[in-house]
Amino acid sequence: MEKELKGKVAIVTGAGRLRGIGRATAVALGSLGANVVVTGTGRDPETYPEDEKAVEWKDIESTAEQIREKGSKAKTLVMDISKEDDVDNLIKQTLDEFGRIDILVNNAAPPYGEDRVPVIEVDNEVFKKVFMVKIYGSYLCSKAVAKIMIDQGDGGRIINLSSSAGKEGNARMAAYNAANFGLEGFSQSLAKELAKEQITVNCVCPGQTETARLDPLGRGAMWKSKIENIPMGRVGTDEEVADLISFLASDKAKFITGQAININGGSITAR
Amino acid sequence: MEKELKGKVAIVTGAGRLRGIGRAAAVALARLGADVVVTGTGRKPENYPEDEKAVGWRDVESVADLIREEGSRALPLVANVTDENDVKNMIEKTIKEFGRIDILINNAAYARAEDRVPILDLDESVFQRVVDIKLTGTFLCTKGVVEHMIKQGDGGKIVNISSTAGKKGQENFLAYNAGNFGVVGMTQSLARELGKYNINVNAVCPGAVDTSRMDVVRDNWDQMAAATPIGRNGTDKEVGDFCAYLCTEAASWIHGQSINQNGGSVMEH
Repeated sequence: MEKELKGKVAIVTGAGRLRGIGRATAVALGSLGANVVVTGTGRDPETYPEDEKAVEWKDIESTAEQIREKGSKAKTLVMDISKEDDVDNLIKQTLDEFGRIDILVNNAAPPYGEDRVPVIEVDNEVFKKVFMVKIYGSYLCSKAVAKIMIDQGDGGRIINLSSSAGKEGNARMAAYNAANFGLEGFSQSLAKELAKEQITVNCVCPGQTETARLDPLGRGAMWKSKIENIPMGRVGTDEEVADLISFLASDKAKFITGQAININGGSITAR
Repeated sequence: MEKELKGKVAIVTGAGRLRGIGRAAAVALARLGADVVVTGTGRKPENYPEDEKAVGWRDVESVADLIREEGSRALPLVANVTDENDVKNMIEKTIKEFGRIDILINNAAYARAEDRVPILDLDESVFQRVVDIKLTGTFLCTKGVVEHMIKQGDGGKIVNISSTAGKKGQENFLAYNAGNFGVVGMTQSLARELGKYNINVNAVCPGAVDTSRMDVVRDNWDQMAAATPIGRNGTDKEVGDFCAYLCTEAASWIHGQSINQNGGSVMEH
């Protein structure tokens, strides 16, 4: 049986971590037959978490290897998605290598950390950085990719990673809440704009997911107390989120657009 | 490769029409390997639309044939989902025939037409019927199925069919809005309750979909398509495939959600 995404080309931003939604998504799309470009920020290997060091993880290069193991082609690119020139280069390199673009997964986000403080303490540059990556970066990538998709004339898929933080505000999360709520507004607008081109635009809003991004939370009492508020009684996996993204990227989902779909074990259901 | 839902048993209510979400969901589940029980109300053949008559359609019996063509077992039943005894019988027959229940798609709904009027013209019995099938029907079937899922001890999947009418009120939609908003509420409540048993509860909220249910609005059909951002109405297969996806193991962390599938017509959560 022909693989569902055979002949399609995908870009997944922020796909360099071993435990991460970006990697899982890139590999899932690869296993469905898509060729995938993965981007990362060129993290300093010294800052890798222990499990990455233990397996000699090489950021997006390792993600690319996992994609190739699934029988698809992969290309890696170290870049800053909030820089216009970098995004232009991403598009150029993708087209040079694979000739087209069908799927964009805007997954990149600044690391969890210094933004999680009370508003009166948050550093203005830190606040801006969250916006620059989540909103401006997703905008630049979407704009550039949409242009190509419209020229190609056979539709496309843009999937933006929002979060439970895009549905409900919480203390010490002002920047991240604002950016994710904003990304959902951006997605609705873009969905209406691109629908006539058969380009769907959706957000996926994961709840607490087992990724390296959430390592700063530890895995102790705080982590466990958060799990108590999840009706399914567990956290999610990067593979589960990737599977939903893959479904949205498939032909079967061509009537789903403009939605911000929660995948959170039931922690937030009413918005 | 083993089919994803091999060994699973599903019930799909309201699955007797040739063009319908119930049939599409039942066939999509069968394609993934599930054995499927399909229910219908025992429509009178003389009321079948022309295209059903033309192909010699036999309601749930024909859907059962389509399920068998996918290599799965099928059990067609005539049942009124608002009747406690009918639902009890449906559960008993499912267990007797297939030994277990893993998936329930609450799709049955009252035929569209006489409920789409201003409140002053809305007949009490019509209001009651619409709400009764959507809410009491979903309640009774879910209750009957959940008892077995909990006993079986290995989780389950419940997908309720709501609608864009479960997200956004519209004039002359009183009964249908109430019923579908109610389904969204039940979905959220049950998700909180059943999560600990690994029973996923979600709703799908389709927009205008090309089914025989919508034959009464064919005069406005093209207008409805044009008013949808994506420029067309949906297909029953698209909704059926989405329901089937939500019933896979991979979708287990999607829980308590009422997900729009509408080409962008409604973005209200």
